[in-house]
Amino acid sequence: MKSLFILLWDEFRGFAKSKTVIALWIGMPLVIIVMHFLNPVQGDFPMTLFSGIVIASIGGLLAAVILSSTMANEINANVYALFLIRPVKRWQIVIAKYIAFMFSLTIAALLSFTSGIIVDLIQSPLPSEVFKAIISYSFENLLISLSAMSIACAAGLVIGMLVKSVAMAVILSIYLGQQMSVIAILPGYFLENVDPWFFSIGIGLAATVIILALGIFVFQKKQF
Amino acid sequence: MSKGETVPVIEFCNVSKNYGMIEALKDATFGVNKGEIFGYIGPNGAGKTTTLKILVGLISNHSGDVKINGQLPSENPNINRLIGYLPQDVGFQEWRTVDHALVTFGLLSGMTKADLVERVPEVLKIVGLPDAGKRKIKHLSSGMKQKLKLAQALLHNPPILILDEPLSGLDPTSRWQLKKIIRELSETNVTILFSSHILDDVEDIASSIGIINKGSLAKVGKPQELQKELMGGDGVEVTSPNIGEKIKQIESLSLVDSAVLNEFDSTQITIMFIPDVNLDKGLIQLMDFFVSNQIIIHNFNYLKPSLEKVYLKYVMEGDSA
Repeated sequence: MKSLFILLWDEFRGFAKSKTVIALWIGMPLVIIVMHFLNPVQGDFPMTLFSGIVIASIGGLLAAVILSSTMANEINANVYALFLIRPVKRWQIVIAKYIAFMFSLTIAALLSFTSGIIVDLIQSPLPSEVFKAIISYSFENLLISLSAMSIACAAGLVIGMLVKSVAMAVILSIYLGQQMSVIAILPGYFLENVDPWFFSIGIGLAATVIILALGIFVFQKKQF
Repeated sequence: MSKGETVPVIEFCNVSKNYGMIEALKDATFGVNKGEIFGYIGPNGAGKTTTLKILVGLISNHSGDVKINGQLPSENPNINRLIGYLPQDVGFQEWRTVDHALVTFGLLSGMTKADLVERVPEVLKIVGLPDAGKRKIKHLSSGMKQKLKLAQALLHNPPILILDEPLSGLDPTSRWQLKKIIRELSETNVTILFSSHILDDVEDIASSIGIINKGSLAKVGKPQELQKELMGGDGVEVTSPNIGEKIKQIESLSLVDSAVLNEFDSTQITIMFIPDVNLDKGLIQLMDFFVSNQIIIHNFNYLKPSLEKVYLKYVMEGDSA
């Protein structure tokens, strides 16, 4: 288990140093703030809600693209042999990469969400009860978005393992990763009498586990 | 096992590996003793890398047994801590600095952070990268990356080193340094198995040699044994202005098997001793003859067939079979 934590911390450091993740951490909150200054008069549309929409719309796509290209690149460069000759299990590499990236995405999502709240608080045009309701609603949206992103992350990992060409991995993850992540969002729109965020999180978790299990199986069979 | 008999640190017993219909390794059986430098040579695609990957556990679905220190990998899950491996085609995650990469690999090998504070600069100094610790891997040259590969293999002080083409991509100075490092490690009882297709390098440093061709181990032995097997016995090459007329007399010496005049140079002859004759005794007899017959010696060489000849013999035999 010690190896898993070493790998997890190491992968997180890797993502934290990557330009793409730094761009996500800075870029997504910046989009919220810039939108506010570009269009300060938005009527009743709160920034907190807008931040949730931004996260949901681009988070899953970026997750799939970044992870599939990273995985394909690293497999092509044969970087995993140096890990596997040590007491490291293959599943630990897959899980560490998934968790580290999900953690990076969660930070980006929370930063965007917080910037939305801050902008709304500064503006403070809404009564506190309404504002609280919006935060609660947006937080539910954030959890649903994270569920969708989790599926996209897992799908991106598997696509990166299966496809040799980085360009092809990116194209496939744009289509498949995004499509699969919708699984977590759809029940909320179509099913009545179910708690949408609870249902989405359940489906998100189940789909992630299944896709990751497939990924671990594929990674076990890889020749390094 | 009788007293004094050496236990192989690395043992391959009838190991075979197929990739579909292709037999990458066929019934490989050999052992490497403690402190030995085992040079593993063969043409491209002969099965060298497959052998080494099986040994370090990167390929597990093979037949036959591979033992490290007498144990199967299944008997000791931490067996790979005993091994340092320099793979041939491997990359690094290039966002890392050299220090960061080594610390990560060290921690995964079971070292502590305190150990690594001392060991990382030490190992970088050994491989000739003393000032590279803070540099990003993406800014290193290919030769420097090769040295970094060696550094990660040496990091946890493993008693066994498996090096896949360790000298490829290095400039002459670095090659010399690396061969020196390999010899010094062997003197400290580190067992080294390295593959190469550069025969001069193998001849320079290997204390044992395995020749592999088309997945089959064609020959294993000490370089001198293999060379003698090819030549039959020891021999010398003598250049002298007045030796040509004495050929018959030299050939009649009791320890001499043959004396042949060089086809293109009448001042040079090749003298072969009878197989298994003590070389010192043969040389003394020859020198006595030269002195008593006032033969002026301009050049005198111990005749050593190149490893290339030995290699070609076994590889070409395999190809024609």
